[in-house]
Amino acid sequence: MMGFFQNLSKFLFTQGQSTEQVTVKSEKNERPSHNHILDQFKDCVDFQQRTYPNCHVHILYLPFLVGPEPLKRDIVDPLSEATEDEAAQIFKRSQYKLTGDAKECVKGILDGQAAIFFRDLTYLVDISEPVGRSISQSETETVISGPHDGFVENLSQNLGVLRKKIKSTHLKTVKFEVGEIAKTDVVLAYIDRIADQNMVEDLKKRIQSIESDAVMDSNMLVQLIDENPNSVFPQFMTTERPDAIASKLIGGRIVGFVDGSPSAFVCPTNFFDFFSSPDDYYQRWLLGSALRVLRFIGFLITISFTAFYVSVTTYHYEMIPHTMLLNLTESRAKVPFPPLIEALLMETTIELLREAGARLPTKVGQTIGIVGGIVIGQAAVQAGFTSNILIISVATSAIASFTIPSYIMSASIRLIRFGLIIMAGVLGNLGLMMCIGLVVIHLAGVTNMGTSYLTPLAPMNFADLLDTFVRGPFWGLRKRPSISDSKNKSTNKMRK
Amino acid sequence: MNKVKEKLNVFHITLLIFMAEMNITLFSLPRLIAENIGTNGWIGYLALSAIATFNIFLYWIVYRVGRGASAFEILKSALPKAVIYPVYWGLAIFWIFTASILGKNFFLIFQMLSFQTTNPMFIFLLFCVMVFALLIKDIYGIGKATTVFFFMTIWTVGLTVYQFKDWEIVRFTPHLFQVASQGHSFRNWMEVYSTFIGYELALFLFPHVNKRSKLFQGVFIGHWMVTLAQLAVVLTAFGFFSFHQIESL
Repeated sequence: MMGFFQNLSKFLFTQGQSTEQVTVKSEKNERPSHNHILDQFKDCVDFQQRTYPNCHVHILYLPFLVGPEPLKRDIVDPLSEATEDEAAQIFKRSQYKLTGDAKECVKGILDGQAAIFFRDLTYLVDISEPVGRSISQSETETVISGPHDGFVENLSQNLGVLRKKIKSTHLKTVKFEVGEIAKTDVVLAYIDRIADQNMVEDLKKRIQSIESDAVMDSNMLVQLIDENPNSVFPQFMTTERPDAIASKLIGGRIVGFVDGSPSAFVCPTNFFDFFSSPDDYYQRWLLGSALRVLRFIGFLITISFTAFYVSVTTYHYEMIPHTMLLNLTESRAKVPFPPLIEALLMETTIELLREAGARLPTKVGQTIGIVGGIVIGQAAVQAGFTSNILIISVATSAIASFTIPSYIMSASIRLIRFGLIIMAGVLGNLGLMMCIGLVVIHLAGVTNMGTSYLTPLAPMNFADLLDTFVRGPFWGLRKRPSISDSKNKSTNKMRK
Repeated sequence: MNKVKEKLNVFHITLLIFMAEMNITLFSLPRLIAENIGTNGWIGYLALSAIATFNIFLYWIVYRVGRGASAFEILKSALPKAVIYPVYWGLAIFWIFTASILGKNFFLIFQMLSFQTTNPMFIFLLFCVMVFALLIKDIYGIGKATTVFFFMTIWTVGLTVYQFKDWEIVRFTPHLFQVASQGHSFRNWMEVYSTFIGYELALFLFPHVNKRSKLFQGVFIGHWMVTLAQLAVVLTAFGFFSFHQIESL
């Protein structure tokens, strides 16, 4: 019977995704030549070549990727007055790496290195300088107490920030190239002897099997490697905070960086990780616990408050206290729509306001936001378009959704809210609970790197619960979370 | 990616059995007990629970003798194919009908209270969608969903304390199994016994457990958790309402 249902679900829901690993054919190594590299970069106005006739050296590089100081130090100063024999001695220095592969040579130039052609040999020297903004606070994840630095788009800078947080030789990094055209660098980081090696190997395979022209951001990459691509819930946590990433690494998780993206992704992740903020650990544990409980209350409010209003005003008037009943009837008296339509209209309006606020330029956004909110709230009620109790309900739900630290999770929950409102309008509290039941059933089937998305609630792990719904005291958090399946469970000692 | 085939542990099994046995008959249990067993019928209810426990013990014997083999393998080795397939069909139809009747029973109550003009089949259809969504998961996924549903609902048992103000032990009467309006017969006691439908799920868990899972420890605990939860409801009802009021619930 179970097999019948599973086959039916495969037939109905399988998207025909390829799960086979792609084997990359190894190409024959072509020796790099000056003309060959010039041909590769033809029609590129940002490509430059220099020749030093005194030592018969040709240099090829992308000037906008290199730094003037390293260029002067490693190219201009040594070679401008050197003879051929002196150049041969210069190129024996360790920063000049001999290469025999044309593809490696091209990649090196694209990474900001300079290709040096001398006699029949080709050398690469790293004279790149990071292109992009400097380390600054994340705009989407702010905390009141705690570090205010955030990751940036440059991969090297991000790795540097991480190394400053975790000064351990056990922190291992593995580099990949993703995207057939963009060839974006992706780095996985994990702490050896803490992270589960099977999970590390699995993640490596997934990244190597990505078939895409370009991967621009971590949030895009995680969608290409997750197990439930059709789920509305994010399965990999992404964050711009180095302190959050460092604590996840120490907890036995694996993190990944994508060059060009300020977000790093973490796995394995469960549903409750998205409700945790670094703030919780920088305050007293009772305060941190209270904040976490508040976030879960916010989650319940945002997902069900408007739907509950709709179900109660449509089907279950007996649930309303009689003192409130008069006010509610009075406020709904002028509204021509049924509660379901009224709620959907207001929720859509709030979503339009939020989306418009995110797209507007900063100078205009705040003004429009305030005016829009006041106009929509006040005018809509006075025009009899909606009731003021619904405005309170919708506004409370919207505010509660922003207590969730992860923007992507709060966006997913806002989407589910619409489903709950519709079901509440169709079948009242029964419909609301049915929809919640369907969401729970869906969540029970979601996995991340083979671990359950509802850990530590289902499957239950009592030790991990101390850092899930509350933030337990540090003396109680002595073991790494079970989701990371670490062999080194204790946080007290680190084998050297 | 190869998913690790996890085995159920005693906690999952306990909650699976608890949620499988806790059903719509909870709403009518006090009346059933009053009509079929009589005064202080909760003692008879406990006796029936003990009989169900013995039944579970018989399943345990099957599990031990079969050395953990699946119930289907045991049936296949014991019965010819010509008999097995009608048995499977019969069991499947029986369980489909039982589940449908239980679901329909539930929705008829809701329909009567809040959706008088709604066709109950529409609600039943949505119920079938939910059941389908659950059944297409593997047993481990069903166990996880069940765990969440357990924590969402178990706290309601604590609401019985709100009735203590009007609860009086004198309403139990000093009589034992008296004034049962349906009379005492095997059929009447079986009607109360039907509230324990659900523990037979243990038969299908054989291939999904190993020695560490402690399958039957979980089944026994789950069964007695249901017994205690339903007993709390029955005792509350018997102390809140008079005996004749319970019969007309």
